[in-house]
Amino acid sequence: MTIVRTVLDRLVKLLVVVLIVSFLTFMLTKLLPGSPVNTILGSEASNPVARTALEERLGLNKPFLEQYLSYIHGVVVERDLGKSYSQDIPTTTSLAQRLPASLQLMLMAQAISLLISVPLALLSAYRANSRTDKAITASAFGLISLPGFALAVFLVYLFSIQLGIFPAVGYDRITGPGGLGENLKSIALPVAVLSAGLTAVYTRVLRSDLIATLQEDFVLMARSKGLPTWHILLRHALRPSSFSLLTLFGINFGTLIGGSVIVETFFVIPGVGELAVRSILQREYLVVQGVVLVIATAFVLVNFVTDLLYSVLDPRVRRTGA
Amino acid sequence: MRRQGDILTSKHGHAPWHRIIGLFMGLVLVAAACGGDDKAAPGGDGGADGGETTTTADEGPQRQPVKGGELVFGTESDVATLAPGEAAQPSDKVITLGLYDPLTTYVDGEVVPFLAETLEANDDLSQYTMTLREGVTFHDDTPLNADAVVKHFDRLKDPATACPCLTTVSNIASMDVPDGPEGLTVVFHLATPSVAFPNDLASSAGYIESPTAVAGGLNLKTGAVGTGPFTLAEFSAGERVVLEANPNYWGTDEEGIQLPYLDKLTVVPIPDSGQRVAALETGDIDIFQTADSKTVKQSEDAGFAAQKISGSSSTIILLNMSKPPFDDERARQALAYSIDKDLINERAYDGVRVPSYSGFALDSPYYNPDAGTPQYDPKKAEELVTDLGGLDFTLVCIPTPEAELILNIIKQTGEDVGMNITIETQEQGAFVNRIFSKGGDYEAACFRSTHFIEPDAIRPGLTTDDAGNLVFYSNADVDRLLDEARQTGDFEERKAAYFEVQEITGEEVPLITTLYDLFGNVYDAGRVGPPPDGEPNSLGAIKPGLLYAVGG
Repeated sequence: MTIVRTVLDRLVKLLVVVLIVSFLTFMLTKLLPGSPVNTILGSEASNPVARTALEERLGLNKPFLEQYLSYIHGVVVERDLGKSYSQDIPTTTSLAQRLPASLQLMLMAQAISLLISVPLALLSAYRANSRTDKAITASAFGLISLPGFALAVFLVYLFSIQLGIFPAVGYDRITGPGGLGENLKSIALPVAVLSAGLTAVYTRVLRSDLIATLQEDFVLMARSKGLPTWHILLRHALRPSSFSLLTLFGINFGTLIGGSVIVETFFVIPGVGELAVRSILQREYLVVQGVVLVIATAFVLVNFVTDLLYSVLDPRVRRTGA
Repeated sequence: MRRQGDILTSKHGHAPWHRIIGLFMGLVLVAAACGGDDKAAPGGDGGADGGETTTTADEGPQRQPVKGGELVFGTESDVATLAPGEAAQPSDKVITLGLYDPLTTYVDGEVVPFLAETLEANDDLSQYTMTLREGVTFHDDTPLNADAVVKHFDRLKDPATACPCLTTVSNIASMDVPDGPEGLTVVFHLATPSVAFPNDLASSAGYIESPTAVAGGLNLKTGAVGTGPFTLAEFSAGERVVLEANPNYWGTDEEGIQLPYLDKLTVVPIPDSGQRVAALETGDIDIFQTADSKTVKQSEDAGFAAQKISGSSSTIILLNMSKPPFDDERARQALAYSIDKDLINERAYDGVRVPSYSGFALDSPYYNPDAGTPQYDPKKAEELVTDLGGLDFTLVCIPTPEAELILNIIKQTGEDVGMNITIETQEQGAFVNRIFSKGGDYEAACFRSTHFIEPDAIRPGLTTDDAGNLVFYSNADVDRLLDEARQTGDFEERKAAYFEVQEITGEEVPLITTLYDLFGNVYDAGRVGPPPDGEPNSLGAIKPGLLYAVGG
């Protein structure tokens, strides 16, 4: 019952947050200088006949609040996120086309980062202040300091130009003629660039928490009972040390659904981030709005799941209803 | 001097400017020679694109086209629109020139019928009679006839279509179809006599779409059913556009080979210039277009071939004459004298560009080399600034690394002669808004000026109170000269008028041209045959139907 109430409570909050975010986004895009009319008409925008006709067609001549309410009505009643002004493409179509690439990029980057960072952090924390620890910490620090675009240039030079293993640009869909193999090849370098930064952060955060946990009395007790090291690390130390990691993981989940603009642009991955930036520059208000709605919803949902996972990691959270 | 697009526009975002280009391409005029029976072979096969676009031959092998094969073409930006009348930026044009055939085109700088068989003007240039090619069908098998042409222009003339070509096509007061809608003849009655009309039809406003497809609800911005050498197989925004050979295409090259040469052409947007070169090296793409002269040089250094296209546009500085300080002629002249174009060329472009002093290309018959346009002269600039008691102004541009370099040079040379220049950069949407706001919310601004073959293209930019006059220039003599030049087909009369306009504007400096842009088509000569020459008025774009793969 408590869980059901919590879920319902969260869902209401989610709706409120998304509504507020959508209103603010709508307002902010309107506050931006410029107009899609200029983009579409160019110098013909000075022609009052053309301008008025286009503004009427796009509904931009209506008062702000009316535009917003009409938009919300479309979203709720007709499940219609509007169309891009310049290409008449439904926003839902654009998002459906862009989300798979961003989701794949995000999921693979997150998974690979975890697969690498957790063992590294365990090793580093277990051998704190050893050469191994210092090497891992320094490497992580180096990767954090390295800008993504610089790493991208290096990886393209090495793996695309010199070794010819991966393509330098483009995204092959799983449903394309190349199937999964070509898809993985096309996404390899972008995932590597994103994973590098995430791995470094996750390793450092988890290592710090693990070192603190390993000082706890219950770990000393486990050691005195003669439990194997791997058992202590994995069964006793890792779980209570994962709060910060989980929080970061959740935040990155939400952020990366919005796409990584630099990586997507550089590698020509048709993702949500690239769509968002282009839409902002071209004053495609409805597309921007659609992208923000998706990101906000994903963000709230993922953080909701993250909160639930806290209680899995630590039953005390569940008991206190936090 | 026809302005379109910011000179310092980000390579990643040309979007707003292609609309302007579309408009300006439409504002063209007529060549009397356009009537008659001239037939333009679709396959110029590397022939000169003529006119004011100069293509520098690369050092690769001569064109030896063969049928077959597939190529991947990299563009600087994603396709903005495929719609007739709207497509104008290079990435749009390289695709739409494959999907559609314009009613007229250019051969050796002359506008000639293309999808039209003939186009004849009456004596006072107020009426044009067009006969279409016989037996041409759209990709959906709809026959090309007068009805398709009339419906096309009716659609563009409807303000609800929001075509950037609205002003241009609005000059078509009415159309007659003497042989009926199924016939091949259309008579255009113009509201104002214009020698530029055939040129209007060479722009994307002259691409005819299938009326059947439009009636069926086709979104012309992302879909296309034309008569061109390719059909549209796939349109994925931000990802790729795939063209496949139209097996029923009517056109052949000079050897009688049916066009297009390629079986398939895939166009992919690659905004990052370094990645375009990398993709060419890895074989992900076979050819790419660029407006970045450094990329051309870098690619040549890496062993790739490059077709260079210069003279189709210039980078310019708009000077707002409706407000201080540039309402004073001395201020405009001072800035013009202070700009060292050779220094900009050397530092920003490795010396590969050419300084520009006119709204016309160097090889245009209308280019006046003795117009008296100010050249770099710091002493004169300093005298004028002293006379003015100082010159403070803000120069606004879109931020790009290239813009930053150029602006710093202009600022430095200006301040050397006593000016106080504030550089302001603004993102594209906001920048456009300022330039097009009432009265122009700027003092000086970076821009791009396209040099069209048809000289009437400069008219809106210099005509009093015209929507395209972004600097608020007004000179009754210039208005009169431009109108006269538009309404005569006599070359010498027109030339004299444009020479005089250049002399007046050379003195009054409503804007400053800096350097001719350089566009490049960079390719791997082992995979791609030398590209056809750049299309006039198309900022380096080429006709894809004439591209061929080495070995087929």
